[in-house]
Parts: sequence; structure tokens; C-alpha cells
Amino acid sequence: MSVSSSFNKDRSAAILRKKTELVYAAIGPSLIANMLAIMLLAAMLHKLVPHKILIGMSIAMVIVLGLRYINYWQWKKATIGDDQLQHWANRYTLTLAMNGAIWTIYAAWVAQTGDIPLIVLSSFIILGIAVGGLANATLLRVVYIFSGPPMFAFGITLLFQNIEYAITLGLATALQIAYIGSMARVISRTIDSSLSAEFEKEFLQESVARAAAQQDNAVQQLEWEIEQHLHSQQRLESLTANLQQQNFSAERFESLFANLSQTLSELTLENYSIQIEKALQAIGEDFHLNCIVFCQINPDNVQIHHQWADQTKRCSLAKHHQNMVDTLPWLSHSLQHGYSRHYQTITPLKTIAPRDYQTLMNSGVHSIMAIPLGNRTKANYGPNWGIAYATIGRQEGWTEETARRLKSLGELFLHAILSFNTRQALYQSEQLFGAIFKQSPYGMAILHTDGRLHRVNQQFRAMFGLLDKELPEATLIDMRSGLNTKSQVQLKTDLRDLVSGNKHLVTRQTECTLADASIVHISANLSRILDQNQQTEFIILLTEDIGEKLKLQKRNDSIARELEHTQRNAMMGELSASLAHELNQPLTAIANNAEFLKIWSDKLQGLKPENREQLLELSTDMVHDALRAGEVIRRIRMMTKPQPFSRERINLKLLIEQVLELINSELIIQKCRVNTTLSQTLPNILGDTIQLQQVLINLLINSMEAGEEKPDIETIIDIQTLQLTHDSVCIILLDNGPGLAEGTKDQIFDAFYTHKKTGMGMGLAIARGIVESHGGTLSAENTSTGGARFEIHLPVTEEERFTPENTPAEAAK
Amino acid sequence: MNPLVHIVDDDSSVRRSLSRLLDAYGYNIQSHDSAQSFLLQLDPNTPGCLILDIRMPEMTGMELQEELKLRHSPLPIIFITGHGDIPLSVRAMKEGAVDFLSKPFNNDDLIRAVNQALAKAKTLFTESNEQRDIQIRYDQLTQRERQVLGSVANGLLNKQIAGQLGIAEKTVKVHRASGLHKMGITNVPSLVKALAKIGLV
Repeated sequence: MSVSSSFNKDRSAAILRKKTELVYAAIGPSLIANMLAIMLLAAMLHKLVPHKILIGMSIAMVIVLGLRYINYWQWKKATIGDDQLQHWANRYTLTLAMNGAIWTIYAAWVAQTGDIPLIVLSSFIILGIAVGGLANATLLRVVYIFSGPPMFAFGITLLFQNIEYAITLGLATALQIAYIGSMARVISRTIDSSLSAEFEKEFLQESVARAAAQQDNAVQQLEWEIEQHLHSQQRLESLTANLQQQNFSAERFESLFANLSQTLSELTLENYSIQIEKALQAIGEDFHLNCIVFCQINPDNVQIHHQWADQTKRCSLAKHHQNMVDTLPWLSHSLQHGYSRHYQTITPLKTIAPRDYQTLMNSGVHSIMAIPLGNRTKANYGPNWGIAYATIGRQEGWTEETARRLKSLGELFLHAILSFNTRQALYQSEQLFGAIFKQSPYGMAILHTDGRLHRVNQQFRAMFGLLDKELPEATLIDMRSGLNTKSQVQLKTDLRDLVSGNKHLVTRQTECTLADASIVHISANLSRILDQNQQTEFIILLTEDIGEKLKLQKRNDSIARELEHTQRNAMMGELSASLAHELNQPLTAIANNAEFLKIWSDKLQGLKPENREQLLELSTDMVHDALRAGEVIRRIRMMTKPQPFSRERINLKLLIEQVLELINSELIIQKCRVNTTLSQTLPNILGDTIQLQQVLINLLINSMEAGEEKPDIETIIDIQTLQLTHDSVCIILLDNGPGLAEGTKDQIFDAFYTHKKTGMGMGLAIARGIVESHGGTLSAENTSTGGARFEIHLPVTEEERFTPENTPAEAAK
Repeated sequence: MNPLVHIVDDDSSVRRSLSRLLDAYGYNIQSHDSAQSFLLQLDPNTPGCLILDIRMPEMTGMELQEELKLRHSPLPIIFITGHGDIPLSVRAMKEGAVDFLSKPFNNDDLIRAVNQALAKAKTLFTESNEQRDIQIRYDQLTQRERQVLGSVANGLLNKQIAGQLGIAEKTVKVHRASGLHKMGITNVPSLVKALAKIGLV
């Protein structure tokens, strides 16, 4: 090193110091920024890298940066001179050496973890720091070199000393940036995945697809991994286990398979779970496995059906009937798509399926194999089955032979469970049918095609008086409790028709004489059971005692007939009344005019006596015939007059309820709702039940039919009863139909008045007639809401009100 | 004045044949096609009778009967009906109808009924005229005269009447004389009869 002058030396030293200060003023913040960047990187890596590694890295960083800061601080303090510079350079080199040592220790620690991604990552960082340091130093030396001649030699020395450090620093920075860039995608996905489960699912699906496409690669990777681990102690252990398993002779497997077949074929509802578990245990013990899971695979979930776990290892992949998709998504997806997976270690899952990895880690699983079962194609996503085997504390190589055997055992399971399920379903259906047959309220019998009884239920026995054991050889036709001849012939024909297939179903109602000579009315329903060739194999006979039903129907029929009769009578009466009026008018005119002719013939001038006589005779006959015609009408009227009604005490509430019961079916058909507000304390009235029923039915049917004109709304009829005064009660019917047409309020009660297309116009006239013959009134008006309102007033049964003096109708008799 | 036979029937054939027939028998006839038109033309002073159809639109025969009663008309009524309802006929007779004929009716029955009705009308209308006469005179009396005559007809002495009304006996005498003069009556028995006719005693 040569120096030209002290002035120049001082000047150069001052310049050098100035420049150095400038450079280090920049280095100070850059050191801090560097540290922050590494901290940030560590924070981001937090999701990927276990805590202990992060802590290690952080400590290393702090030490390195601390050392570099001391270095910087000393540099700032140093007075510029060759000695000091030399001293500083030595220190700097020492620092670098220490840096190197610390990173070396860290690298060694990383290497011993055996975690490949971590090793690669750490290598990048260390190399980066080394190369970057070198590059940094080089930059510094360049500054010195060009700062002046006195410093040249020193600069050259430092250049050679520290060029390595400068390059290292530059490269490290570049590599750090590159690494962060490459990790950014992974990191951001990881962070996002923790925020969005949906994204995770997508990612998972993507992984699945990728994995499927790269199955070959995966195999290669696995081989590579195996190679890697050949060198490790654990690999040696697993190799030993594998060798043991290969020794597991074919003969032993055959015997295990045979045993399991035997065990599983004897499944019953009671021992089902125990037997399955036993079988799984046998497999587990023979193959040195610690956990076996048998699961049902559906398109949207994978459910565990049976699970066996080695009690000593406390392994549990999932709870019973839990959805495995939640805990082991990667394996579940693989099974759902029909891929089998086997992993000697679960490490590869860490990146491709972190959640599976986590679950398996928590369970302590070392090796796992999942196999889909059944003949499924990729397109078929129906329910299917799968089996998974896992080991704990031991790595399992899953040789081809082992995998094949475990798959056949899985298939054996599948077959056993499916056939058990089928048997179970069959048994249940048999049970159900039995219960139906036994508990049916109908008498049921299964007949042979010739009419012989094959099987009958208790109701049938009871109906026909058959003893418990007795199932006669005789056919149904000649059973001693039997049908009459006509029905027997009928039954023979029916049986023939059913057997030949002319009919599929026959329904008959017939009388039947029972063993105790009593006669029942039964309804019989015959239908056929076909065999595989579509031939009639059996005939099912369903019988029901319809005696009660028939009685009820008869009663209803008779009520209906009576009503109809009354209706017809009343109609005839009303008809003849109107007819009488219409005919009597002209007859009166004829009679009067003929009478006038008689008088007039006397006064007529210039008439021959015999003509006058003739005219008189003619007009007398006319008068006579007109009066005779009037008399005929009067007699018809008398005949068809409303029958004198019976007088009985009638409870209006009861009456209305009976009426509603009578027309209930009609109300249902017409979708009409009836609300009743019936007074409980209404006094009785005297009258004819049938006739008053007819009035109410008439009015109700009118309202119902009026409701049809407004099909879009439900027809609602309100019926109220109330007592107006002490001697009269009132029934009010309100409907929500269109009401009475304008100005027809009085006409509606006239005979032949109708606005219905098919009506006779008699209903309301008759109704009013009946009410009036009971001493009451019937009136109609529109309600404020647009419907019609009918009011029936009837006198209550006070004896004095019905004495002959007070009742016009009575008085007239 | 000749009595008038009113015919009210909405059926024109019946109405015309009846008019013709009764006209031939020499009765004075007035026919109407509805109760309303009859009421419009009715002269309450003309004696006569009414042949009335029961079943008519708007105002029925029964309703007309009630209306006439309200008007104090003494017209006797013969109902005719093509319906022949017994309860109706009973009601009509109770309300004072002369007869109730079912269409078609016998000529003799009709003439007998008409004659009977006219005979009844004669007394009814005479009575009616007398009553009207007395009523007119009575209406001319002062309040005091009415009080006094009323008491006289009840048989009270002048002194008693004076005590009752709180006036002098002499004043009672003056009112009594003037009242009797206005009524055109000279003695007490005639006064009693007259007041009885207009329903005051």
C-alpha cells in the first residue's frame, strides 16, 4: 500500500469516512427492513411450517442481525487509518464467519428433521444470505476503489476478502424474493382456505383432479420416497415388518379367508355387530393392522358403518356413522371417485391434503390404505362401499400382495353385508305381510285356484266360525257354513274367470249362512296372485261384514224416500193450486157470459121461439159445464191439498243437525261450509219433522246452488236460531252467494218462479206453504254484504196457541 | 140515490163478464182493474157494495179491505177467488165480508150475495149519514158546551155540573140551552141517543 502525501492521505481519509458513513447510514435501515421482511415471511410461513422451526429460524435471524449491527456500530466508531481499517476488515471477516457458523448449525438442525420441503426452503435462505452478503461486500469495495488512490490497495484487499460476502447478500435477496414469490400462491391459498371453506373444497377438488391425472407421477414419487427412506432407521423397521408379512403364507391367508367367509355367512340380527367386529379384528391381528374402517360411500358423504380399532393403540379415525368427508376429505374423494390410495407414511399428504394429514396425525396413524369396493364404474355414483386399513407406530409398505389380499377381504365383507341386508329386508317384508294378514280388520283368505282354502286369518275364522286348527279340505263353495245356491254358482263363475284371467278383480255382496245358522251380509273382494308365468297361482279373498253398513244405508234410503214423497206431495198441491187459479179465472168468465146470454135471449127481438129456446138451453149448458169444470178442479185440489201434518214436539237444534247430517255429502261435494249458531235453550215447536226438514233442505240447497254462481269463493252458509218473542222462534239462514235479483223479493215465493235453468220454481213456494201451515212465516231479503237471508218464524208450543180458536188452519177444519 | 156495485178484479175477462151480467140484471156497475184505481174513484157518500178479487198484484183484496176499514168506509164486500183457500175465507168473513165466492160461482149465489150486500149497505149508509149529521152539529159546539152536554147526558144535575166545572149554576144553564139548540135537540133522551150514535156515551 503506498501513500503520496499526508495532506492527500488526510483528505482521502476524510472523504472515505464521509462516504462510508453515507453507505452505512443506508445499511442501518436496510438491516432493519431485512429483519422485518424475514419476520413477515416467518409469519406467513406460520400456516405451513410447524412452530418449532419458525422459532429456530427467528432465533438464528436475531443472532445474525445482532452481530451485523455490532459490526456496523464498530465501523462507525473506527478512525480511518490503515490499521483501523485492517482491524475492521478482520472483524468483518470474523462476523461473516460467525454468520456462516450460525447458519451452518441451523442447516444441520433442519437436515436432521428429514422434512424435505423444509430443507429445500432453508437451503434457499442460507444460500441466499451467503451469496447476498458476498454481493453486498463487493459493492462496498467498488465504492472504496473509486474513492481515491490511497485507498486503492485497501479496497483491492477488501474486495478479495469480502467479494464472496457481497455476492451472497445480493443473491440471497434475489432468492428470498423468488422464494416469497413462489410461496405467495401457496400461502395466500392457505390463508384464504382458512377464511373460506368453499374455496378449500374447490382447491380440494382441484387437488383430486390433479392427483388423478398424475397418478403415474404419484407412483413414481412414492418410489422415490421409498428410496429416500431406505436409508432411515424407520425404513429398516418397516422393511423388517414387510418381510414378515411376505412370510405370511398363502396358506394362512386361505384359512383366514375361509374362516371369515364362515363367520360372515352366519350373520343374524342379534350377532351382526359382534361378528363383524370379530372378523375385522381377525384381519387386523393377522395383518398387524391397528385400525380398520368399513364405510358406505355416497355421492355426497362417506359414512362409517363398521370400525375396528386396536384397543391398545386407541385409534379412531372417525365416529360411527360420522361423515368421513369432513375429516378425511382427500381419502373420501378418492374413494368416491373409485381410486384406491395407499401411503407408507402420511407425509406426502401434508401438502396435497392438509386436513387428512392433520386428522391422521392426531390419530397417530403412520400408514394407511383405502380401497373402494364393488364393481363400480367411474360414471356410477350410487351408494358404494370402501374399506380403509391403518397402522399406528409402524410403517406398512402395502406390497402388491398385501393390497390384493386386503382388497379381497374387503370384497368378502361387502358381499356378506349386502347379502345380510337383503335377507334382512326380505325378513322384514315377510313380517310386515304377516302382520297385515293377521291384524287386518277384514277377513282374508288365500284360496287355491280350485277354491280350496290355503291360508286364512283370524277374522276370517271368526266370520265363518272356523275352529283354530280347522282348515277344511273342502272348497269355499261347499263349506258347511255357506252361501246360498245362487251365490255358490256365482262364486264358481268368478273363480273360473279369475283363474282364466278374464277378470282381475271381482267384488260381490252376498248373504252367507254361518255355522250357527245366523245370516250375515258380506262384501267379498276376489283378486288373483300371479306366478312367474303370469298364471293365476292363488286367489285372495277379502271379506267384510257389511250388515251394519247395509242397515245404515237402508235407513238413509227410507228417509230419502220419505222426503221425496213429501216433496212430491207438496209439489202436486202447489201445482194444483196454481193450476186451479189459472183455470178458474176463464171458467168464471165463461159462466158469467153464458148466464148473461140466458138473460139476453129473453130480451132479443125477432127471434123465433124455438131458436130462443135453443139459445137458452145452450147457455144453460155452458153455465152448467163451466161450473162442473170448476167443481172438478176443486175436487182435484182437495185431493192434492198438503197432507194434514203430524204434530210432534220438535227441538229445532236437533232438527237442524239432522238436516245437516242428511245433506252432508252434498255439502262436501259442493265444497260448502255451514256454520251454526244454535241456541241451546230454544223452546220446542209443534210440527211435522219431515215437512220442516224439507223446508230447510230446500233453503240450504238453494243457497248451495246460488254459491255455484260464485265459484271463486267458498260458499259459506250461516244458520242461527233465536227466540224473538216469548211465543215465537226464528231460524235465520245467511249465505254469501249473489243474493236475490233486484225486485224479485216477492216473486221468489210464487209457484213456477225460477231463475234457474233447470228449476221448476216450486221449492220456495212449497217451503212457504209448509211454514205457513205451521202458523209461521217465511221471508227473504238481501244482506248488506250481498248474500241472501231467509228468516223462518215459527210459533212455540204453547198449548193456547194451538187451540182451534186461535189457529186459522185448525179453525177451518 | 141508486146504489153502486163496484167490481175490482185484475182479470179483464172476469171483470167484463161480471159487469155485463150484473148490468143485465139492472144493477149500477162501476168496474176497476186494480185496488188503487178503485180507491181513487171512490165516493164515500155513494151507497153500494164491492165485489172484490182476493189475488191481485200490488194491493190484494185483503189489503184493500183493511184500507177501507181504516177509512171508515161502510162498503159491504163480497170476495171472489179462484184459489178457494179456506183459511183465507175464514179471515175475510171475520173481518166483516158479506160473502166469499169461489170462482166459478153460481149465478144465483152471486145475485143473492149482491142483494144481501146492498141491503146491508142501505142501513149502513143511512146510519152513516145520520152519524155524519150529528157529528157535524157536535163539531160546532164550544169546548164548554161539549163538557156540559156530556155531563147532562150522563144524568148529572145542573148544580152538580157547576160544582164539577167550578162555574156558576146559571152559566151551566146558559151553556146547556145553547148546546141543545145547536144540536137541534129539545129533550135529554134525544141527546143521549144522538151522542150514543157518535159513540160518546
